[in-house]
Amino acid sequence: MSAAEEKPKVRWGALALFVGALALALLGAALDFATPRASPAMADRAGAASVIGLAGALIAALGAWLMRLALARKERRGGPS
Amino acid sequence: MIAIALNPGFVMMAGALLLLGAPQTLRAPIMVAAAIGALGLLLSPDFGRYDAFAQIGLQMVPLNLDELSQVFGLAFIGATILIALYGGARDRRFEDAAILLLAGAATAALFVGDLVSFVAAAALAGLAAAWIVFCVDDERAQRAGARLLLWQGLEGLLLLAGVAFQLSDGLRNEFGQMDARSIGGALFLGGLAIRVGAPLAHVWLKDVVSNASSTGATALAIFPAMIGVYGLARAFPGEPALVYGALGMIVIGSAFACAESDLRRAAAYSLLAQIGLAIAAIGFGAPMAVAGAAAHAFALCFAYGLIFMALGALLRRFGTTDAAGIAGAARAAPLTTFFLMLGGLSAAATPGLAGYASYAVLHDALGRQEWLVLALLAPTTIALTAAHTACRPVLAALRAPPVGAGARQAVPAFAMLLGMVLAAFLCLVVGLAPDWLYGLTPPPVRFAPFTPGRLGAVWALIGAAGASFIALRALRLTPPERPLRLLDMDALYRGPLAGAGRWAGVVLLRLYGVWQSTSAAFAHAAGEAFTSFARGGDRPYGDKLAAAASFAAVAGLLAIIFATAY
Repeated sequence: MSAAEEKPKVRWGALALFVGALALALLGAALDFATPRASPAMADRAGAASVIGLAGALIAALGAWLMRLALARKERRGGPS
Repeated sequence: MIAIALNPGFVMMAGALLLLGAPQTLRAPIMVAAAIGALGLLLSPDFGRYDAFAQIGLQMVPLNLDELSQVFGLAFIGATILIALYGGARDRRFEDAAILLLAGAATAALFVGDLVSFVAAAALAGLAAAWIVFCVDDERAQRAGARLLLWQGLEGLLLLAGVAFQLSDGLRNEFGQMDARSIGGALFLGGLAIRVGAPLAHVWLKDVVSNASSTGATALAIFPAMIGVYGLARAFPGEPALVYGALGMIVIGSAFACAESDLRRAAAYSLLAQIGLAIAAIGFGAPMAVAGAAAHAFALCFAYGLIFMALGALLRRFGTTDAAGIAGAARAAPLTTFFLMLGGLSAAATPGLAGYASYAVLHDALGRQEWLVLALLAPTTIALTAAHTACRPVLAALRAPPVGAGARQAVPAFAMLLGMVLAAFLCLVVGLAPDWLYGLTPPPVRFAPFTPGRLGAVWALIGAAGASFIALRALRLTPPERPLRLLDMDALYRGPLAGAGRWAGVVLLRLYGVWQSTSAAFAHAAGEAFTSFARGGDRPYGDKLAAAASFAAVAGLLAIIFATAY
């Protein structure tokens, strides 16, 4: 099978992961909002957790760009010392 | 039932000696048998100190059993069995012996009750770790092993000096709470900081893990650093300096894990960040926080053990663990990819897996203190782990392979799959029924992790992080996967410092050469002059001037003698 034929399946795999993660986030939010609490701590609520999760993903992407820009070095022939 | 009071690590070390002469078919069974024997020794006696004796005026305690050593010991013995099964198919006698020696020395370090024995066991574990790296027949690995020896030597020196100062202050040899403000305590803390990979000393872990074999990397990821975590939990609970060091570990580990292209190096950085979380809890020092730290170390052994096993299987198949190099792995090695994802999800504290059982306690304990930074740190670390350790490798494996690329190596051996299945099973068992783990922690905690509120927040956290990261990847807002090498602390001593050292060596050699040639020329000239003078003395009348000089010298000498004598 050629690479061109494989491409759509690869996209489906990533899409399935995305849908799974999104469903997990929504399920968490629904469960949290359905749970009454006497003294809710903000950091423990699903809304705050979702914001932290989103921020974490952004940091992961932005941090990777910045780290690579600042610290990447080219491979030399024969490998590093 | 007869209770034998013997340090469980000794059985594994004896097993390592046995492995050196055992045929290939018997090595994995011997490793498993040694681990099971150690488990029996761990579980049979009651808690307490056994067989203490005096040696050169110091109280030595070869076996000290309590909750803290027990929970770490169970993790180490379980990991040894996993590694024995995982590496059972390959024929590498010395590496097998080195791995069992590392596991045995690490386990022995947990159960000794005095400082000198702890330092000795930790040093033996360091030597065994270097031996594992040296077993790889590759120049890079040999250099990485030498660098590890340097780190371990520095660490051993600090630990030993710390113990010496501790004893000279009149304190006991007992391995217990130490004061980081005393010289001995500070030196000991410095040694343990190197062992856990504190900032500036964090490079050794990714260095050795990325240069070791599949099985060796798994052992190196689990045992050496966890000895340090145990040592900190034993000697420095409640030490505020640990919190700052842990913050640095989390930031550095997470940042490099996001950017590294090699997945084994990225996993090593991710492990550093997670260890930082446990150390922050130890630094906080509340009983529940220390219990959470011990539980987290326990869970990390199996979660990251599974990750490194899966990456090792990919290394065997594709010849690389670079994110760009494993494209197509999801189709070519679906089971291995599944285990890689499971390990990543476990590390990211997905409910039902081992990481969640410990993370829930840690999060609760860190949320109870006044530092808002620490309260936010735990969920942020988990979100980052979900992105870079759970999602990123799987997305890399899901990419289409390059045109014409086929399976380059053999499929993972059955033994490798068996090890991964067992590791995944343990992750699930700990995650689904964590009460027995909570009963083992020091002190035992009563905790309900599966309340709707806790589950909802963690699901939202992991789901949002994963979905956002996948969306960012789809929008090409994350950097493309390509092989690269990032500069870290080691670039300093492997680059400019190593160059400066080489330059200084050359300059010193040249100065020595100049000194040698100058002194030789001077000696030659002096010899020539003396020879010439002596020849002049041999022929006093050969040269009028020389004869006059000789006469004057003798006359002067006689005049001095007469003047002083009379």
